[in-house]
Amino acid sequence: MADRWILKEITIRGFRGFLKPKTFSTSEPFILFDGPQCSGKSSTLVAIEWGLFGDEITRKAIGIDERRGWKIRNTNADEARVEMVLQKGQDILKIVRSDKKRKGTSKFYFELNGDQDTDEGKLRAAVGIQPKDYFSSVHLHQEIIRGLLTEEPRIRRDSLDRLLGLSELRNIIDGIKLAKISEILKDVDNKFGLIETKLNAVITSKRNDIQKVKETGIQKGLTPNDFSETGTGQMCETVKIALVNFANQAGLTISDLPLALTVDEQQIFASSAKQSLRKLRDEQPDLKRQKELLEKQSQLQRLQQTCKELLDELQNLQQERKRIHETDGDQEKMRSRILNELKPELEDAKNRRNEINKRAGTIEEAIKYFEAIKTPNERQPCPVCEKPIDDVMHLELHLNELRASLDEDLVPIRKEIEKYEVEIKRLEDLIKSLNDLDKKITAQSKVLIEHKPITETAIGREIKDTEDSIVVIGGEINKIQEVLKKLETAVKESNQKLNAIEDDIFKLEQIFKVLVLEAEIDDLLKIREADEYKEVENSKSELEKFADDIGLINQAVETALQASAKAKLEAAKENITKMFRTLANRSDFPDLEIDPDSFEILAVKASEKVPALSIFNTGDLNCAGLSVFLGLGAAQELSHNIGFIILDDPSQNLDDTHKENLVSLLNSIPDDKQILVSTSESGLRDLILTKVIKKKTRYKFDLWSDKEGAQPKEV
Amino acid sequence: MTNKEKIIEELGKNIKDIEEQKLLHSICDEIFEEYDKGSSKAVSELLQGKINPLKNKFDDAHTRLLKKMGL
Amino acid sequence: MEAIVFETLRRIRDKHGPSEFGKIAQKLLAIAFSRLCFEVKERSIQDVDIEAVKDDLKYWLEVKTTDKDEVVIEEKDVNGLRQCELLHGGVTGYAVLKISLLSDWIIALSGNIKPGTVRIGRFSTRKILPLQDDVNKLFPSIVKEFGNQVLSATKGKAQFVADRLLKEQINKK
Repeated sequence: MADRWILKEITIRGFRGFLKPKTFSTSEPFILFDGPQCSGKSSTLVAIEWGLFGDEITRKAIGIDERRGWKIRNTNADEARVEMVLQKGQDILKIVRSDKKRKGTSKFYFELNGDQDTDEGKLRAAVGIQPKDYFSSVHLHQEIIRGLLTEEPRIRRDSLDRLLGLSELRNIIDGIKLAKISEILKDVDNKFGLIETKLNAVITSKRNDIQKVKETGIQKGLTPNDFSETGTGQMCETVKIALVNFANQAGLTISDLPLALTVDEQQIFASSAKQSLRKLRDEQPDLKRQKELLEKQSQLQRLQQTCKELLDELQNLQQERKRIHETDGDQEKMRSRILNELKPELEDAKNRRNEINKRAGTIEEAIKYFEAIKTPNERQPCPVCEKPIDDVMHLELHLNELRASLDEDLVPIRKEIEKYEVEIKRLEDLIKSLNDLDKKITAQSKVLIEHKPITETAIGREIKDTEDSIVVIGGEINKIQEVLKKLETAVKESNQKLNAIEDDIFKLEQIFKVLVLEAEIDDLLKIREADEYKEVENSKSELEKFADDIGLINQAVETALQASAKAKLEAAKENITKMFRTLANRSDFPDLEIDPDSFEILAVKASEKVPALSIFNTGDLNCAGLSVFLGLGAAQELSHNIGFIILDDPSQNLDDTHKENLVSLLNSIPDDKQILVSTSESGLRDLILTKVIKKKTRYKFDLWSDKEGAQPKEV
Repeated sequence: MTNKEKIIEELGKNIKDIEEQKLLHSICDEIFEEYDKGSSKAVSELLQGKINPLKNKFDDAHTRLLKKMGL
Repeated sequence: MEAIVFETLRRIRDKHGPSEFGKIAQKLLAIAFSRLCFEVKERSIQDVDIEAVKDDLKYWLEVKTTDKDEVVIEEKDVNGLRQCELLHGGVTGYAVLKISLLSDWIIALSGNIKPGTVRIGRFSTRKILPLQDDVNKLFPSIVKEFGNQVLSATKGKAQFVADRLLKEQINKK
């Protein structure tokens, strides 16, 4: 045991299960801690870890889940303190660690052959092992064995990683994956792609516009080849010449048209040409004349219409008067008739009526009297003399006859009276109408007279009294129409010329539209030269570079992990198999291997290999875990300076035969390895005590108490 | 050989450019330092802390470009 | 790439299919190398797509085309290039083209590219300059010159047309 550090002594106080200080002398090659569950055995083993590595043993980095949130100090203690002494040959290493700062001393220090230091790194260098490797090659935890037994590949892999000391590399790979760099890059690709998608959409839209404009241009007579810069200069010149010629012929002027050498200048030229064209069109002499004449014609037609209406109105009034005169004469005559003829006749008729009415009135009274009598057959008094009358009914009858006769006489008289009255009324109304007519005729004549100068002004000459205004106006209208006929042809020809020029300008505009759109497309494509684009490219490159670097590191970590796993497993292969053969002692699949690629534990029989999980029971799997640990430990003994191994409850799930095999295995571990075993199983304890040939120190742990803490006793 | 040394050795096999090697070694140092503090999560946070500013820079440039293109 | 080049390549791909297009692009690329005064061979050794040699420069290239943001690198690609490098020296790489308006050929070193789906961005971090720039300056004119001939070839014959064009180019020298 000279070449490695072995544990000589450890004193524990206030640390986890320990309350009072306890010192363990551990010079012997085999140290046994036995006792019931939760008696402080594991606290003893963990104290060794804490002594060596401090609070690092509780960190996530260690990878033991149950350590999270661990308390170091016993709740009833005022200090957690561990003092260890290790020896390697002649060298003595003393480690003191406390969780409490004391005056004058450090919480942690170590002394190597009397030289004190507080540098944790130097201690690690001295013991030659990192915390993570400690758990893979010095202290076998049950959690690791449990992990090997699981079906879950990830947990199995993690457990094997810890056994092989690969957790760190594996966790770094996981950390790189967690950073989700590939997702970020995907987002970048998508965003970059978005630029192109939008660019494509805009370009497609512009191309469609180009197509539409070309179609319009081709309909107007352009050819596909015309849509380029090469012919536009000549077309502009043609337009210019046409406009100038037209203006000259028409005796008009247009403003100077701008130069048209470049496409930009040509576009300005086209706009100016359009304006000039509009001006020429509006100011064409023939067209102007035509407009004037049309206006004149319109005016005369309105005048003519007015004249006609006025005249018609007058004539209607005169006709009406004439008709009345013809039927009834004039007012004078009618008045005379009323006065001398009708009124006297009426008077006479009324007199006759009145006469008859008198008589009728008396008879009427008498009739009423008799009708009012209740008993007609009785002798009644006479209404006149009051003497009784003998035959009332007879008298009544005669009276009624008289009345009827009088009525008959009245009828014609009444009719006569009515006739005269109606006639008088009619004549009086006619007189009134004639008076109105006279007034209207006078007014209308006045209007006609007043309208005449307006017409004369319009036609430019006097209308004689003997002339018919309407016919005169009609004559003027005819003259205008003749002139208009002649002008129509001239205007048509001018317009045709101007339309042709307008078409040429339109064609030019279509060409320019296409050129502008094509230039816009080119500009869009030139976006790659823009600073903004270069910035995007550069920032993308930076991202890609970073991602690539991380990718390379990830690759290197994966390769290192694979290589490390392979190397360790290769180095330990023989030992693992040997130990498994001893421990499990299976006849069917006696050997054990670990696939370095899939991290699968394989049961082996000659060349046949099957996954161990498919055929091993828990006892065999426990043996497998132990074999891997011990096998690796044996192969890794050159990699650190720790000369002891710790097996914490190694016989879980082992039957008696396996336990015996385990003990044989323990006997086969080289003498230079100090072995610390903790167990709660009496079976294993007894086997160790009786079968392990190495010199032993045994600490028996009594039941733990809150007041005393762990109570180990050397036995 | 520590894990870090193994990785650096592996990187050395594939990367010949000295400057590139230095850069990768520096990132490795940071990764291991963070890992010692807080395992995988710390490593991921370290890397995210490095890549996020680059991503933000890209996003900003991308927005400016789209604006310039009138999109 | 220029709009006209993009349009032509896109139409070739649409008409003749992605697989055929890849081979056509390879041949057009080979013509570009030839015009850059490289001696060009296709599939000479280890089934590598292009061998281009000029004076001391020797390139072995696997050609990949896509319309996506990634390409598939196969074991045989990696192995072929590795064998070429080991046996004959020179520089091994990938010539990658995404058919998009904003992309051109990426001529990249093959080192550290493992088989699998690889993002195009990864190739851009290991481009071979000035070779990549030289190729991209020349390639558009080659597409404009020969694109219509390839496009008008009947389905299934485009590769032969491109092959003939390449041979003509090589024989010219």
